[in-house]
Amino acid sequence: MTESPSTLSVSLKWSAKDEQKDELLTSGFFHLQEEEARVVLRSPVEKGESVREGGAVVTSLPAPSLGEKSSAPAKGSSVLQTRVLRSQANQRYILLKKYEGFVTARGEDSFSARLFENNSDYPVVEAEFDLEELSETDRELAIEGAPLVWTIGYAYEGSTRKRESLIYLRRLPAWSDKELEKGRAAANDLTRAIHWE
Amino acid sequence: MPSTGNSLTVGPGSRELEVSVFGPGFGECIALHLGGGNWAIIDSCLDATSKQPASLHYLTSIGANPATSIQLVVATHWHDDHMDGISKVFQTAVGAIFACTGAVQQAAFNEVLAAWTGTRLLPGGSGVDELQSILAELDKRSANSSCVAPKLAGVGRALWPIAGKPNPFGISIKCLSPSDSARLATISRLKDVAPASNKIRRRLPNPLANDTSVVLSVEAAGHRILLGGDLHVKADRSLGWLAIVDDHAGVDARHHAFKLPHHGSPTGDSAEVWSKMAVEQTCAITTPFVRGSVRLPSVADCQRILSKTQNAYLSAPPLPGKFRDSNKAVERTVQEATRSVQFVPGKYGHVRLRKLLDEKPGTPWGVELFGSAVSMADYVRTTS
Repeated sequence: MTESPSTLSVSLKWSAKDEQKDELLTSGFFHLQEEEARVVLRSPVEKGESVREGGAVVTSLPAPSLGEKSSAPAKGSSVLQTRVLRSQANQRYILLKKYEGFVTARGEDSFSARLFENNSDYPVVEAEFDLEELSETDRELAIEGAPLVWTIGYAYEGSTRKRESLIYLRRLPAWSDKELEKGRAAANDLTRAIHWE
Repeated sequence: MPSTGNSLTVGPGSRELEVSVFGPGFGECIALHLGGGNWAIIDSCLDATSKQPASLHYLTSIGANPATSIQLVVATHWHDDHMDGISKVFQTAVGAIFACTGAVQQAAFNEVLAAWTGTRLLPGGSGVDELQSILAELDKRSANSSCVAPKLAGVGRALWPIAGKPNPFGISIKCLSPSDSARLATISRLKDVAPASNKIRRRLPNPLANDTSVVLSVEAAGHRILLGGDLHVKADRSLGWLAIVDDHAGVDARHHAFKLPHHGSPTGDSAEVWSKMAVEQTCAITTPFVRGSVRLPSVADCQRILSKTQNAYLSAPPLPGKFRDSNKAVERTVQEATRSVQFVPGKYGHVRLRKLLDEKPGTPWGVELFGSAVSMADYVRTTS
């Protein structure tokens, strides 16, 4: 009889460099086989990289076997924070659908969001949710423009299967002064040569 | 006589006026025939089937070359939700002149543009991606001395004719808004959304509201067309539609076709505009808007519009696409977890008005409906 491999549910926050060399910080929620998770959690920090709590650099991309390919941190990304959410043998998770999107409107007890599976989706899904679908800490963050993630899947615990809907807001960091200054310079460069009439 | 081809792919005659309204996408689009196969494009949305900008898809389908036939591109708003694909239209139209609201010249606008640039990788974009692409294109063209400078739209400003550009119809396109007061209000709102180092990063909300929308009055040989953008009616008469009405006090310049503002909602409707800016039984067109349980125009809105003119048309009924997923477990979960869920944009269509330039200005327009476009009277009848 083959024993089921252990799985870990892990929350990661990581930073990467986008094509214009700006640092992009983002976060994700992963269900990884234990071996894959170790790669993220125990990889060495790159030389010269400042070490932050929970810090690591992804040197080997974990196999995104459960459908997280599009959001997995790329090789070389700095993992700033890791949090193990569930860690039990005989647990596994099958992701059925993952939407990412943003809040389009906030009401007193509800919010609306536009949701994408892929950036090229057209038409797209628009949904209105009760605020209660969010955790108490997320509710105040649900303002127009706030990015959110919605995953739907089956969670297995032993022989029990549970259908799960998980909605959470992505916590992007505030702008830094340095970043704002850099952006200002880029915008000035872009608009300086344009002479409006 | 107007064209009777009733075929989408038949272009207007060289002496034929045309106003085509497309939508809904994320936004709407208007194509205006300037004569001799030249076009002005106002705003943008995507064609539902090709997923290309509606104007490019249409012009190609009637055998026009968008690269050379588009002479003017106008953005009445600058938020991405109101002009999906407009940067592609402008990039394609290599000789076109670009015009948009004067807000882009403000220092506060640069602050916003700068900060939101870094959020472009968010799903759905940053909110300023379209305008940023247009600015990049303008920057590129600025090196070419033969390129005409882009124009800031503001009350009283003429966007057409332009010296050196063809104008066989003797057509004029004039801005009726934004007013100076609206521009000042814009600057104040830009400051509200301007980034600060302690503010949380997110997709740019639409900060300009709708009183800064560009409204255009088009005139050719006595035929007048009012393109209402998304302008609202405000209690303060220095803003919105009432500022336009006051500016036109004593001037008989009523319009024979009217692209209604803000999807025919009461917030964009004023009895004064109908009586002073539009002829009786003017040809009115609007595009629908759907978000959550909001449907514009409502049946009551349509009835209000029909009380002003029976010549009223919708580019499509305000109906979203029904949400479906091939995985029934996903579909069930989505339904359970939401108050409402739908695909947007939903139904899409195209209303085309044509009229020979040499006809009397009061002559009825030839109206053609494509896709899901419908007359408002028929929509109300079937919905009731």
